[in-house]
Amino acid sequence: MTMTFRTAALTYLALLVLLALTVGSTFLSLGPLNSAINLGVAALKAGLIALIFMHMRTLEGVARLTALVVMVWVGFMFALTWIDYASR
Amino acid sequence: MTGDVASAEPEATGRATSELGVFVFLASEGLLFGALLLVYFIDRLQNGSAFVAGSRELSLLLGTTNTAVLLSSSFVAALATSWGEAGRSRPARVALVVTAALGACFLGIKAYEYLDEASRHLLPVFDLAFAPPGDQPQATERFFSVYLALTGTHALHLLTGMVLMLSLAAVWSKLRRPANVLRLAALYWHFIDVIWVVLFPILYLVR
Repeated sequence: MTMTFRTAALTYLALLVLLALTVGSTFLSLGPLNSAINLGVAALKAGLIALIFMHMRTLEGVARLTALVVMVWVGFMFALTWIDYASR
Repeated sequence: MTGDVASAEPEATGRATSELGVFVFLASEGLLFGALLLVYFIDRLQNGSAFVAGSRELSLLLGTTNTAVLLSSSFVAALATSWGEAGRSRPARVALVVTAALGACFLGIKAYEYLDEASRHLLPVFDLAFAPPGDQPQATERFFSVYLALTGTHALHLLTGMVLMLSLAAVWSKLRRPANVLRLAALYWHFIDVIWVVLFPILYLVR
């Protein structure tokens, strides 16, 4: 259960590399791909922190459900608001 | 042997229950930030080009530095957690103080950014002069309003996290199972980090 120093250090390193990648990509004009890279990298970084630092990998039962369900609710909130906005 | 199992089980259950409590709390925090992000999302749909112009006015260097500072603080908090669980109290407490210090460093840089933006008349708050560059000041004001709401709410959370980390380091030896409390406090800290990881690209990198 306990995270090893190696795991924590590798995760940290990966997070810094991803940060460099996303900042570096803003200096290239890639059109819509810029936003895609930024959001993709943000999702990867958030995923690494959640799964490893917040040890959600090993989370079980109701706690795992709680963590997942918030994404579903936020998803609903965004989807329904966007549908309302787009159909005016 | 049977006695060991019997005494170990309630502790494991207690830990799982308190962890569930923290995740429920974090879920409600997720909804709070979700609602603020929704405001950003709708405003950006309406004022796309003004959001690009607004984002360009923010300091990419300071934003990137702050992201690195916060990622480092999460790394140190993760180390504190595993040291605490290994029973190494002293390094765990030092790591807690370092985590809070990195949080203070983040807030210091953020405060400098706010001051710099205020001096360039970019913050639509407290009757400060607001005069952004570009030909659509009203749309740009939307960007800086959401920017203030998002980063301000995040900064308040970070401040709470710092108080939590420092208090834990201070009362460490008085707690019965400090490592378990640390595990819960670290969840909150990492959550604040996740929020910043989402805020950074949508505020600083819309160029």
